[in-house]
Amino acid sequence: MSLSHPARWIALGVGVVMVLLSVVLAVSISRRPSQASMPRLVQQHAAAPDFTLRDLSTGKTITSTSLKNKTVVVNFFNSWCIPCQLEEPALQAFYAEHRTEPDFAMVGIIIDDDAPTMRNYVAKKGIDWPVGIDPNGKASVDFGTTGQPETYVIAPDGVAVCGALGPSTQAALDVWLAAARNGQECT
Amino acid sequence: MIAEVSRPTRNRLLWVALGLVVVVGVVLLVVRSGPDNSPTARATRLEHELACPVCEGQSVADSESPQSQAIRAEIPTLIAQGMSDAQIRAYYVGKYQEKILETPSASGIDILAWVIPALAIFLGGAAIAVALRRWSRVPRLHATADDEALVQRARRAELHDDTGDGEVPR
Amino acid sequence: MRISLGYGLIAIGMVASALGLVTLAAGLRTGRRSLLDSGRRYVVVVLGASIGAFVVMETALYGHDFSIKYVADNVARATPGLYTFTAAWAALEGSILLWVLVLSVYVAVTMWRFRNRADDPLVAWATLVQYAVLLFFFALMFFAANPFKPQPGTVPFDGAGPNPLLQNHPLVAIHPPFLYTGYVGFAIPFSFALAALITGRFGEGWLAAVRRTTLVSWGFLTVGIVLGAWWSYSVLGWGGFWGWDPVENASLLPWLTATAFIHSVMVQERRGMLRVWNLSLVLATFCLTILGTFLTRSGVISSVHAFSQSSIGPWLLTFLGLCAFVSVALVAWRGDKLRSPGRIDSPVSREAAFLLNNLLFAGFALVVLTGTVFPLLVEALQNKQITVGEPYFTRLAVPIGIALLFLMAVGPVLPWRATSGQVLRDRLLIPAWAGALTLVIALIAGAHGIANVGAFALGAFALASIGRTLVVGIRARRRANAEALPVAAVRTVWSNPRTYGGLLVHVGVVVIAVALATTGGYTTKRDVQLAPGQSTRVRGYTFTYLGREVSSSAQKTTIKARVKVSDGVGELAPAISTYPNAAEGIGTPSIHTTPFRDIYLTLVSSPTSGTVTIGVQIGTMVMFLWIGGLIMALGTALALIPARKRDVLARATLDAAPGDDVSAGLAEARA
Repeated sequence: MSLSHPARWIALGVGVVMVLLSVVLAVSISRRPSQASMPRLVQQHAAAPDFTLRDLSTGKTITSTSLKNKTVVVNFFNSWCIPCQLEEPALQAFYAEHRTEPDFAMVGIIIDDDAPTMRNYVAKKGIDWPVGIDPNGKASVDFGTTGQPETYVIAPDGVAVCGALGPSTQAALDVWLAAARNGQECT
Repeated sequence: MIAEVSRPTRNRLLWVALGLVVVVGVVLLVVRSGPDNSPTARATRLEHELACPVCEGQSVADSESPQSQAIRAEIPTLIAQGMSDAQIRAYYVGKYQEKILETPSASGIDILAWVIPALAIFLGGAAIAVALRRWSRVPRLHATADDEALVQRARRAELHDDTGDGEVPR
Repeated sequence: MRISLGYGLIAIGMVASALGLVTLAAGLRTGRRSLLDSGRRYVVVVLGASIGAFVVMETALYGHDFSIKYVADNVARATPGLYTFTAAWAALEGSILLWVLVLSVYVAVTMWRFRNRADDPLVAWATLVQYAVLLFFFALMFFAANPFKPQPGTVPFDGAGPNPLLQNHPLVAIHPPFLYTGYVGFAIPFSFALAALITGRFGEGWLAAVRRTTLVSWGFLTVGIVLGAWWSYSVLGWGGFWGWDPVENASLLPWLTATAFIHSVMVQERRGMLRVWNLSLVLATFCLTILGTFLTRSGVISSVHAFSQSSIGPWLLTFLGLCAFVSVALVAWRGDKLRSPGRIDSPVSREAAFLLNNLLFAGFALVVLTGTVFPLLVEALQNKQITVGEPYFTRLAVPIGIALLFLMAVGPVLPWRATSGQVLRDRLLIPAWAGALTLVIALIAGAHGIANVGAFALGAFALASIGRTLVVGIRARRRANAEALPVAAVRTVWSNPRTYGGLLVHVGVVVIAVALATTGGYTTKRDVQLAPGQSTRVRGYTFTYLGREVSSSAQKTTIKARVKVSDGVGELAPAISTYPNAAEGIGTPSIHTTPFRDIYLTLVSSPTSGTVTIGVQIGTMVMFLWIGGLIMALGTALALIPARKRDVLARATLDAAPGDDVSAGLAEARA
């Protein structure tokens, strides 16, 4: 029984598959650096979910409904993640610049950290915008967070228009704030 | 009376009895192993079908990250609200996009993940079956002891025959 | 100084491999024996260079020579001695160094085994291919992944220390070396397969040359995989032992094709059939090894196992492409010469069983490969990220596993060529009843789950079938010589170690299959929150939280939660350790192991404010996974023992050059 033709054809078929596979793998290693850096909510320009938090220092409830009609900046962070520590001065400066504006609100939401450690951190860094504990991690699941820090800028109509995965700069935050107020693009 | 029955007949009876036991057993097993749709079982199943959004390669069931704990806390609520398994999966896909699902879906390009191996195994099995049938069409000869001895001697010599063409190098 | 020495040794290894390759190529072209002989001698230089480079690395690690970037990144002054040693393979560049060391040893041993066949073109070509692989990996280190790269800027006072996961448990000293000794070894059969295709000699010559090395590599890889599962369970603390993580899959893929080869090679030995297929399996096994090396080091796949992203991805991908291209091209070119003389007479024969075995293993490998690579495919085509995880693999692999269990019971009792149904029914009656009774008992005991109970019943079927084979063999021997039962048993096994070793490996596989069913189906997992002094009950055991304990060392800070467990289990202490170079703590589970029951505790939340969250997992028959692995290792060792007659015959034919008179050896073997 001759094996010449079947073996050759099968070998060539396998070869074609392997070429395709190599192309796929080559594409994968070449595109590695460009990870998506916009959170899903922002990519889809979707309505930000409602959230209910417990204020870290006062224990009172912070709800998203109480912040309606304002432009809200939400920042998920904690005390141990290095990029969070890196962006903290930028957040401080940004807050200092805009805190007196009546339609501005900023909320920090704690991810993956415990209350006593966070209180120490907040006190040490002098963070004076409201920071909330996320009971049961519901807000982080509702926003679809995949890490920290994550920043969302939510327009008065409730749509998450700009934001980033990873640390932000003060300049970027200013641009996003303006975009959320004026309906522009966030670049 | 059992002793009077000849060995082949006894064996045949034993095989028949075996067949009955196995068939009944398998039927019972299949009936008993039907999918458990109690809320706890559904929750556990869903936890295994969702990937932890922040971990590397763990399911929501296995991971202890805060997000996984949050999802594990939330799923029973969703079940109690009357959502079906498919709806709960879609709910989380809405939040985290498709990578939250531990398996590729059965639509679009994802179905290839299921089709490729299954098709390959099926085709391989078919090829073997075809080859076996083609081979067995030629009538089979039965070897005698002398034939076997002859073949043994030839096979020892064949160990030196690397090219497989029947020629033993001098 | 060490930098130049280490880098210099790598350069020497690279040049020596290149010179060996060139010399052998010249020798093959001209046919001059002297060139072939001298080409082989370069292996001594290569081996010396790789050992030397490894030794230099170890002295640098122990000497805390932080002028070398690799040392600064992977050891700290506080790192304990063992983990300083294992830091040699803790990161990317060091792992390539280990690859090269293991490969050099394999090549050197192979060279020595075939020292009497130096002028055989088959051996020469194989050695040439081995040099080519060595050259690649030395060049990889020389150009792209230098382990002795100097630390840029000022030399730091202290190093970063190993990744916490790699200094948590002594297993890090054994698991990687076993794995490497496993899949690096597949380069040798690969080289012989290519040599057979190039020289046109694909009869049984290359097979005999390669079988033992393949089995040795396979054995090490099996142990390496089981050790990895053990590490995942005992150290990582997520409660499982196999996550279908891409790196785990990368080690499983060559194992599957190698297992298929180990079986179908018996068909080639007996009947001279399946030559193309066996060649393809061997070639595929090594290509899959390189694929795995690529996946774990290129950064395309994120995994707890993967090395940090580096620039060597394109190098490895190119090498993978080259290996695959050469393999496919040679098989396609020689396709018309690979004519197998035999045919399979009957679907009810051992040959057919091996064919089915190969179909299932190849199918299994395709499932694992598809699942691992599919996310990359989708992302490349649709820019969409998906996950392929445990449910995919389990749904496809479990039916394959069940079918393989059945084959393990039936295959070994099938005669070669053909048999009547009567023979088969007579041989399998008692084993089949063993399986059926197990099914009944399992059902009565309340077992559920088709795959689980199927594993129990088919496992009993297979074990009984293996037992029957042994009993029949012993009985035949006792009929021939009047020996006492124990003596006959030992001598039966000893006279045919290859067969009984294989059967013992099957026993190990059955044990693992049963353990997979029990751990998969009968594990209880719950998180409990306890205040100090509070108790809770899980599945019949009472767990009382006693309090926490903090201990510090230079290496790490550990917080333990002491938990008292009822029923004589005693005190368990799951912990979380924080290392200075990492932000997150590493959990360590506390496990109480008995053959049939494992109590597994993890610390879910750090006990700061009094209450603690403990993960409780109670597993059934987990230990049988490791016992099964041990049995497989013993079976492999047994199968490697050469039977006396076969040993003589093998020696007579293996070492003979063409033209030698082997009749004396044959006569001796026949005696």
